[in-house]
Amino acid sequence: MRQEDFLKLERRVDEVNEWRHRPANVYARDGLALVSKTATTGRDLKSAVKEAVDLIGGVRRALQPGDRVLLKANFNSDDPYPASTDLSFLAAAVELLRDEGIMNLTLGERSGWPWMPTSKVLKEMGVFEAAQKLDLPVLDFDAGPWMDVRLGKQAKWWEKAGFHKSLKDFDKIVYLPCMKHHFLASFTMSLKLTVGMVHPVDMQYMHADYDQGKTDEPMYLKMIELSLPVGPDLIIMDGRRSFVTGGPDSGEVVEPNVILASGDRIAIDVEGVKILQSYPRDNLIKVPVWEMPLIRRAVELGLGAKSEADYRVVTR
Amino acid sequence: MAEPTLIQQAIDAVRGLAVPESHVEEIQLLIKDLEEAKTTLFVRTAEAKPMLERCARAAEALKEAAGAQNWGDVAETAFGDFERAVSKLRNTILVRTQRAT
Repeated sequence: MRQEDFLKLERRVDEVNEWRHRPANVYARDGLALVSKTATTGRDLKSAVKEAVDLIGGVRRALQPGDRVLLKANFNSDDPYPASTDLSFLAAAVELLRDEGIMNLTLGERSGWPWMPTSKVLKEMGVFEAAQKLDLPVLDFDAGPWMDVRLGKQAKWWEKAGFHKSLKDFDKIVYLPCMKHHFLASFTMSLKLTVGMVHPVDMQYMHADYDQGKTDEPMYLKMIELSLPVGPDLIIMDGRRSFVTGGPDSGEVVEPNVILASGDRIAIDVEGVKILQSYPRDNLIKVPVWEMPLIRRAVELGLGAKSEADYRVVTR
Repeated sequence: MAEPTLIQQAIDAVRGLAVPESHVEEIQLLIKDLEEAKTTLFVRTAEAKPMLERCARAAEALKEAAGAQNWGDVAETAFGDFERAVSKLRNTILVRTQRAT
């Protein structure tokens, strides 16, 4: 989408509310959040995804047959994986959920505004075709309808933000992030995935730190507050390939060959960042992960684990 | 350093092409995108080179396809390829310069 067209987008909302989807993390043991790591080398992808989820307690711990489940993947741009979700990973996740009796699944997405319209990205990436084969409905978030959600007293940068109104129709939300460096936000994994459910016009405000010269309004600190009203019931992260520089659309690719799963956004992203840090590069993640402003703010906002002591990594 | 002249080659190839009425506005905008891209530092970087080469190739292919007697499937496909090539360049410049993600 050309910038002039983006700036002409209208912002209409049907209602203002205090909607929340902030499920308790059921993927915990002895009071500790769980993060699984499963190697994918030389094995079937679906079995790796299943193992990752089983290691933290299995699909059915969070999801039940009859649940209306939103899948939020990462079709941010029309660039190939790991810029955008790999269709084989999406298929593996869908098949795993269906095997567990979770049949009512919908994929919802809004691409990054330079690449919008989202329908064009989804078409270019073969998502519509893949979704048809999977009998998976696709919800294009571009058009709305939208609701303004008050973010509450914890939010410093937003009074309210526009979220897709259909979010109210889902019982559960599953995040399917990629695992990659981001040239502006440092990294984009589960914590940033929420942005793709937010009104595109709100991106003008979110990015004002740069394009309007408001350097005291860092994009990533605004971005993280969008996670206040909404969180996932389950996260399955595709870390088979990652960007360790650049991102979100291109960068140097490495192959960690791992799938991670958790119910805790901070814990899984911290583990993801640590994996990326094992490939030293001149990038934005060269500081200890718990000292990263994005993670520190996420902790302040109560989005998940507060330290290493709050979670346990499980492997086979 | 990338060849800035690749953009000019692409512009020259498609400027003045006879396209169906439904594509007239879009091709003008794509040419404008290329003209604007020419003014950026990004197009002088090594990262830009494959994108510029893609634009130039797609423009030549469109010129050839559009030169056929009737605008058909080949020309339509070539137009789509050109549009995608320019979009990729435009979006990358947007991300790099406007920090829009």
